[in-house]
Amino acid sequence: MKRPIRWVLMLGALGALAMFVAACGSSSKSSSSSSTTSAAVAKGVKGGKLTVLAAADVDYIDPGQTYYTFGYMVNYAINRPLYSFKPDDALHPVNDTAVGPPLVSADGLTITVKIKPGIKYAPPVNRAMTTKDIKYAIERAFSANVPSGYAATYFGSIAGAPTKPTNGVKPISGITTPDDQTLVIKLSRPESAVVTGAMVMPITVPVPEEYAKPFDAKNPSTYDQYAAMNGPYMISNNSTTGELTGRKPGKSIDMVRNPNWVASTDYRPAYLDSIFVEEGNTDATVSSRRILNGQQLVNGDGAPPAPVLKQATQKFPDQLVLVPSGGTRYVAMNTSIKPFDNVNVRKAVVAAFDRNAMRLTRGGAIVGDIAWSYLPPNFPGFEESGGLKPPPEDDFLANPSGDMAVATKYMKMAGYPTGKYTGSEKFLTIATNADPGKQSAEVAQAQFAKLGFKLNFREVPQDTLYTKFCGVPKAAVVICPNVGWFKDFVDPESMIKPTFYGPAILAQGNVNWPQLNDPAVNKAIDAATPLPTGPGRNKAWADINKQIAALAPAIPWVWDKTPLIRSKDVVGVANEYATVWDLSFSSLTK
Amino acid sequence: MPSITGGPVEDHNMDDRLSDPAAAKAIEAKSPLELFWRRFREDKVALAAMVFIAALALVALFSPLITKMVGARPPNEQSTKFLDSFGSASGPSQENLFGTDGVGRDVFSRVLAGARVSLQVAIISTALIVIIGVTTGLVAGYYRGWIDSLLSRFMDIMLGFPVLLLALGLGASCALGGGCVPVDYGNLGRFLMAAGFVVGVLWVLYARFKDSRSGTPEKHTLRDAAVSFIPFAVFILLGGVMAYAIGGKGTLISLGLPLVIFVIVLSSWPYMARIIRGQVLSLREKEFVEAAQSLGASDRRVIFGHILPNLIAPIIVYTTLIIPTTILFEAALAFLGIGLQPPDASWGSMISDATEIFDTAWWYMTFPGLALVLTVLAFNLVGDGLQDALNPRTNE
Repeated sequence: MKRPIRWVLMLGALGALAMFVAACGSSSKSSSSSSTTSAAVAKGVKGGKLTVLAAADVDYIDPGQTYYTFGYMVNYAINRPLYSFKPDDALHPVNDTAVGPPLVSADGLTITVKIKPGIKYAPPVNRAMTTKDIKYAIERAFSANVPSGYAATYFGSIAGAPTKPTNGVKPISGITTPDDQTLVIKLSRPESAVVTGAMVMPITVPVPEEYAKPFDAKNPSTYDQYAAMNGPYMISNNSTTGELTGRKPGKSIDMVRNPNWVASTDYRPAYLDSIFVEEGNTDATVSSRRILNGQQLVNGDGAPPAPVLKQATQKFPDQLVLVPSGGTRYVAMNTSIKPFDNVNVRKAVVAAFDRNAMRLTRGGAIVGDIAWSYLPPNFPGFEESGGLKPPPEDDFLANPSGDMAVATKYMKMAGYPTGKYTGSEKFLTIATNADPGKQSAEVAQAQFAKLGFKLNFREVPQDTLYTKFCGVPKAAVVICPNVGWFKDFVDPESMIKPTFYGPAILAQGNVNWPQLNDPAVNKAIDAATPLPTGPGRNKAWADINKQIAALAPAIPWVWDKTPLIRSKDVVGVANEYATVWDLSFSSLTK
Repeated sequence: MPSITGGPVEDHNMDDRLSDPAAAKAIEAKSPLELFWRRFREDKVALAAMVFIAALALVALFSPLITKMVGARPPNEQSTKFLDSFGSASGPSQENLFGTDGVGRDVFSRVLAGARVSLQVAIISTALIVIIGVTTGLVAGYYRGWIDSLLSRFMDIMLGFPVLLLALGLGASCALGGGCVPVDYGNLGRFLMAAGFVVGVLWVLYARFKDSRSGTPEKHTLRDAAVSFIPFAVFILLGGVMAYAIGGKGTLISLGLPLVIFVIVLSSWPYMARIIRGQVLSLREKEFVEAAQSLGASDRRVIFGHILPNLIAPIIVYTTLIIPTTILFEAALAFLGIGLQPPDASWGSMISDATEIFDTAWWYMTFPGLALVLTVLAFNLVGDGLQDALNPRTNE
């Protein structure tokens, strides 16, 4: 899952908070406002224009490419995938264009999905969608022209799926469409849990081949500027060419109602008449205050900085909602570089780490629970892992404020009799250059210093951090203090396999940041991958979760929540899957 | 223009004053240095600024000791004890005189640590600017012709650099690994020392030999040899710093103070060079220069022995004006993230960090900001005072 990368990439470029990535992971009702709930949805009044304040543009409008939350915010208003989540339940996907849940064959190798008839595209396409459009949407995501961030990861088990990006869009033999309403996917490996889970992602938004083909023939595809839309809203476009005239990158996105949308086929109320995304609000403090004190405004890609968050909590509590983001933030230690290849050194670092100090850089307890593992609360496998408390045998994880006695014990076990690291080298550390990540990194630096580790501390934009350093093993970065992984869909495999599986280490775009390649962990992951969805699968992944935590490849420090703010006259409904305001459910009070 | 060195410098303003016997008598009783001091101390504001700078220098030098004495925490020590449950900084208190920053560090001790950085940058950068600027200005102004054209156009090019963009670019490209332009400081330093010494000695011997062959009646003294050796001594000194203060393998430009100093010097030396060049163009036409040349004085003797001493006053004045500029420059670069790397403190980076929380943590921007303003103001006032004191015409 590269969604965090994209998401944070955007935030890094803005110099805004890289705080709230990707989807949610829970139906927790810990939110502090009136938003998010069905009650709030019921209050909606039709009409009005909502303005979303954003720092920058969405990554892509093209559903085959979008991979960060702000992109999802817009995409789920203008597009409908096979399955999606109602705002207040990120655990149980509901049928969107599909008529029922995916049917998986007994051998786990065939998935069948039926779609609703009569779901039409906005102008200029105008026709009803078919399963052929979904087949094409998946196929194009494997092409070099449409660089999808996750197609190969989650749909790579489809029979005939390319192992490398194809030159142009090529058919995938494992995807067939017996009729316009039926999609059949054959797998080469029994990984139906992942494939069906990932059907909530925008890759299953239909793409009309006859319309998109000329755009997809270019590299990169220009479909992003001409996307067809099947959701309740559409970006204003040229009714002949389909060009998205309402999208001015870096300036604004103008969304209006889709005249071809049929309410009876959708569960979304779509209260608003129009939605305007105002970009260029790079000062998160200013835009946050504007929202809290203004009218008809919500936040888009930027989250309120910690001081504004404090003010919002104290002065505007009903205008703030905190959505569990379904992810873990951690400080990665490169397990392939000495002395961090020594598990006792890593345990010592984790033991010494003041994880509470790290959390305070993002706003304190309000932004989430202190983490000890990689499956977040209310996520399958979380309770099976032991919930909020780490296993008692992992004493190095016991004290969230750090325990120097335990740290010293492990340093001695690692061969450092004084309990401190005695080497003189400085370890390359790549941190983000924007707060609050910058501040978190400085706290991390101080934690390493407690044990005598000197860091060669370098600050770069968050996207550079991922694309040039932490995601490139050759760069030999030792410490990555600003990484995090957030779910794409509700399955523990999506949280653990890309990030801690040895064979998942890539030369470029690597997300196994600690470069953990432990044979026992790899074997356990291999065994858990084909397990069918259910308690057995959750238990297996929970065990792996604990197994990884015991190897201390990283310092997990928060299972965070995304703060969303709105103006007083906005009935904001947060989507707990995408951890953004749900534009199809939000409304205005008048 | 009198020299504050008290050396044998021709005073061209003297003639006017000598026409007044009373004034001449008063002046005869004082050395140029005494005259300068008498004028300078009359400027109470400049004197107060000088005292402030002296105090600042002491604070910068002994900041760890002062931090300890007042019971403050070390500048890089973080503490969640001084943050509230939202992670917000706490204001001035007995424990933290100037309050804390967002990770619970003591702003007071960080302001003191920042003073050290500011002065360090100011002194090193200014020294380099003066050395490069004065040397270039002397050569360009004295020789004129193609040498002047070449050096002047080079200065124009340097002045044409978009400095902030250059700094940001270098900051980005030199941020990683060890930095840019790998270099073995140990070997390079030793080479510079040896080369500087050998070439310098040969140069001095050659000059002496050349003068004796041409039958120059001027007597060669040890002072002449020393003056001739000055440029080479700079190389030897530079080499010594490289070999023994820095040492080992590294990079020529690395993120942090070296990059800041590099950018400041690169963008500032032409200003100094232009001023000196202008002065030299004027001085070289004076009678005392013609007299020295007619006596057979070599170029280097005229430049370093006769012209340079007459430039001391403008050099001092301009230097005091460069210092606050470099301090501000460093702060600006630190504000943009091209300066000291965390956790070390500098005023610019503190102000930068404080911008987002200014309304909730006023102290975080106020104290480093105040320190910066007062320091720059003090240097400017001293600069003005020096200018008044060193230029008798102003006083008259």
